[in-house]
Amino acid sequence: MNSNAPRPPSDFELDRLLGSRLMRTSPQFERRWRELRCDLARPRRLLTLDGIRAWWWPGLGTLTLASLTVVLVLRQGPAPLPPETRVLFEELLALDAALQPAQVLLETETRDALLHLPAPTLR
Amino acid sequence: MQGVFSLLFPWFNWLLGFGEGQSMLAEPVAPADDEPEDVLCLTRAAAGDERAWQELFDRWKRPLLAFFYRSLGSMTESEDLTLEVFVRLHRSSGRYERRAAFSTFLFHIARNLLCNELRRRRRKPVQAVPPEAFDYLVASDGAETRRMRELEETFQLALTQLPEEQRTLLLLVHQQELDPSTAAQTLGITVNHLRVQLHRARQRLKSLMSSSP
Repeated sequence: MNSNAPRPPSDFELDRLLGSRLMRTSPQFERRWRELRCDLARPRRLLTLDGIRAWWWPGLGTLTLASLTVVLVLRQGPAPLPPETRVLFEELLALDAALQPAQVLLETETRDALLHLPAPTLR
Repeated sequence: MQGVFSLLFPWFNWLLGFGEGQSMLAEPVAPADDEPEDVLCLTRAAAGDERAWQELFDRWKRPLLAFFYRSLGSMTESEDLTLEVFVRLHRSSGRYERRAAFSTFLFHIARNLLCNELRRRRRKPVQAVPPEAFDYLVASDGAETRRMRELEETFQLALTQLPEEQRTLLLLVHQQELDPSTAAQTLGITVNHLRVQLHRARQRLKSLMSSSP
């Protein structure tokens, strides 16, 4: 038998160790606490769970209304033109006929010639 | 319908107000009449009374420090966590209702912080405090003092090697002297399970201490 083997703790010793309390605390710890205590005692205006619960249903209602409004606005599509700004089909045909002679200006040679005209000549 | 919602979303009842007064932190249990001073103190503290905070701190700082130190083996971290308990207590003070014992509420917070800390850190730093820091040497004679000094290091090492639940159980019952039902509520287990675990934890602790070099 090895006489140097550690003696196992008795139940009494184990209870004393388990039940042991600290005798004192460090000055740094106490200083940190004093700083914290001032913060804790300050009146707080944080969003508490009770606050969330009080505002939940009104908030949800508002959000639903806002979502419905957005959906309705998007579903309507582009706004129709006012009657006075509508262009009739006949008017478009007349406009096309009136602009027909200007098509020659779109030919490449004519366009280049016009682009190279000296500026004063354009007046 | 409400049952389905309640099952899917535990907070649904709380939002509807059906669970009015049920704390999100503590399980509802029988009212506790043994800690009126702490409850009154907390009520005053929640209203911004600085002296009430001091009273609570003076009453609970050493139990909390000892609890954290025996769990972590580091006094620096124990001090940080003890202060953090009071910060959390401040945040949840408005929600505390006397359905659970104050110590259940407090050690529920402490245990959550401890578990977070154990998950966060990978290795366990040892910043042991000397045996003189504890009260078990006060009324000891020479031989007994020597023996307790010898055991202190082995004890602390063995304690940190225990699984968290067993260690917390031992500390809540033997160090904090919580009654079995309060300790069981803090850990969210039944009293029978607590008794079994307590016995196993003691046996394991002794075994670890005996096998320690």
